Order: sequence, then C-alpha cells, then structure tokens
Amino acid sequence: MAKSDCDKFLKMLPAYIEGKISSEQIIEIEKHLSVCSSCFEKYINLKNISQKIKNSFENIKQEKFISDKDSFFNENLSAYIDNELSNEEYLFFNGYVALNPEKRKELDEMLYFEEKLKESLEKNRQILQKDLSKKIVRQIRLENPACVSEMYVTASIATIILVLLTITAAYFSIPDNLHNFAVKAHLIKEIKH
Amino acid sequence: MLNFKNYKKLKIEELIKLIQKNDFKAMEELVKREQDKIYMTFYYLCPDCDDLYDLTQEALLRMCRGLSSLKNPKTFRGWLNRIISNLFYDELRKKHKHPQCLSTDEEDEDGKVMQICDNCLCPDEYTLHLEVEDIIKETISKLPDNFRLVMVLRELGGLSYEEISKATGIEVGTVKSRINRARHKMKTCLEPYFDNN
Ligand SMILES: [Zn+2]
Repeated sequence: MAKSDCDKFLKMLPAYIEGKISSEQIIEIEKHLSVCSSCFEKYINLKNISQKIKNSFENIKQEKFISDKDSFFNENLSAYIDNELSNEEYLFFNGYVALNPEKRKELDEMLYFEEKLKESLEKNRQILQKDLSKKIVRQIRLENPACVSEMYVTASIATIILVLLTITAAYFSIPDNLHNFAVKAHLIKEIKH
Repeated sequence: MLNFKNYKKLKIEELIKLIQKNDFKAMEELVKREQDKIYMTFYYLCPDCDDLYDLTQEALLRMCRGLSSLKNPKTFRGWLNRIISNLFYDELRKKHKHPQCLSTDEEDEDGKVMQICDNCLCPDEYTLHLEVEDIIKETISKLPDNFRLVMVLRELGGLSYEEISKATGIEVGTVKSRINRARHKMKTCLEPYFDNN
C-alpha cells in the first residue's frame, strides 16, 4: 500500500466517523479500510475515542448547559492549559483534539504561546532596588509596643552581660600588667647599673 | 530569645508560625522573600502608577500586620494576593475618581476586551526595535483592568482559578472566561514577536 494513499485516508478518518463526507468518498475509504490493516486499526481507535467523547459530552452538556462541542473547546482552552478541568472534561477535551486536527493545532499554538510568555516574564524579573525588610520590621516593631519593650529588655540584658565581661576581663588582666611593669622597671634598673 | 536558626532554609509556613510568636528575624526573612514578587506584580498591574515602591511597601506592611491572625498558613499565598488585589482596586478608584467606573458589568467589559487588539502594538518599524519583554508589558497594560488583574495573578502569581476568585472577589466562572478571552487576545497581539522558529 502506497504511503501517500494511507496519509490521504487517515486525514479523512475523523470526517468519515462524524459522517461529514460524500458517499463517493465513503465508498473509497471503506474499500481502503478493507485492504489496509494499519489504517483499519487507526480507524477502530478513533471510532472508540469518538464514542467516548460523545458519552462524556452528554454528561458535560447536562451539567454546564453547553450546546455544542466547538464552543466547549473555545471556552475551555485556557482552563485546559491551566489544569482547571474536571476528569470528565479532560477526557472529552483530549478525545476532541485527537479527532480534530485543526483544533489540535490551535491547542499546540496556545501551548507554545503560553510557554513563550512564561519564558519572557521569567527573563524580565523585576527586582526592587532597595531591600525593604529592615524598614518594614522596624515599622512593625514601633506599632507593637509589647514587642518594643521586649526588644529593650533583650538589649539591656545583652548590654549588662557585655559590661560584666569587660569588667571581668579587665580585672584578670591587671595583675599581668602590673607584673610586666615590675619586670620592666627591674630591667631598666639593671641597665642603668 | 537567642536562637541560631537558619531562616533562609525554613519553609514559608514555618516562618509564619515563628512570626506569630513575635520572631522578627523570621519576619525579615519573609519580607525578603516576598518583596520582589509583590513589586513585580504591581509592575504589571499598575503600569501608570507613579510609585511602585509605596505600593509594595504598603502591601508588605499589611502582610506583616495581618499575619498574626492568619489561622491556616497554607492559605498565605491566596491571602497575600487578596491584599495586592485590594491595593490594586484602591489605585483604580484613585485613578478614576468615579466609583462607577469600576464596572463589574460583563457586557461592558466584553466590549472593551474586544477592542484590545485595536490598540495593541502591531509589528512595525517602531516596535521592532523594542525588546519582546517591553511589548509584553505594553500588551498586558492595555488589557481592561479586571482582565489584567486575573491574568497577572494567573501568569505571575501562578494562582488557581479558585484562589484568584478568593483573592479578587470575582466568581470562578467569570475568572475562567476572562482568562480565556484575555489570553486569546494576548496571543493574537504577541504571536508575531514569538514567531522566531
Ligand atoms: Zn492505509
């Protein structure tokens, strides 16, 4: 079977399943399907999808008051991209684009657009020229007296500890200094002698 | 009071819990993490605003003030975007001075969104010199206010439709249809600039 023959019939399959082609074309396609197992398998597959989406569309229709599949596709394209459809709606949507190549193309274009948009937004990240965190926290502390006093208590404790440490350090270093001084005095005396 | 936590490694929820116990180091870290995102959201939301810093600062202050009463830290993102939306609505009121301009009438908005592409930037000698990022900003800024809000929250904030609805007070169904229409229009406007391969 010539490859181009198969391509031609595969393109016609969705319309054939939906009953949207002429009787001559029907005869032609059925003849091909009876001799080409590869196309026949694809036909069965599409036929199943078509049946499934018909059923799920009936359910959706009752819930959402939508008259035709086309407007469902148009109104829910973004919701599909944003992961906002119910399972039932997903099944329908996937089947619908499988059966309609031009809708598949529309979906692909929208996905491509979305990807590019996200990419550009990511690239164009705006960054504050100055960090506001210290300023904000200071402001919130001022508005909150309980926290301010807590802050002062912490600060005072820290100061007291620091002062104590300094005093202790000073205390322990005094004898050393005195000792050094005595040694130096002694040395000076010896040199003079 | 003396603690040596590595705040940079904490999750947002953990930071919030610490802030609720008056840990100001945690608050500082949370502000550091959120400030650029908030600034960027206003950058796209309020293109004519004179001082995006003031808006960002106000949003951060409201965030810090309100955190103590936020019961479920998981709702933080939606709640923060509610603060942003409210500030955006305030800006609109200032801009229009007439409250009735803030129409929620669908038909009116539909009419407006249909015009988006009339005044969108079409590829010509002038715009070809601009970076695609500038064209995107321009296109977003020309969306009608209510469309711009849901679109920015979706594309920048990554919020779900439900979260957008809670943040803006717009019904989920309306959020859905606005995002859909705005995205279609933006696609038409921006496609020529994305068509490099
Ligand atoms: Zn075949």
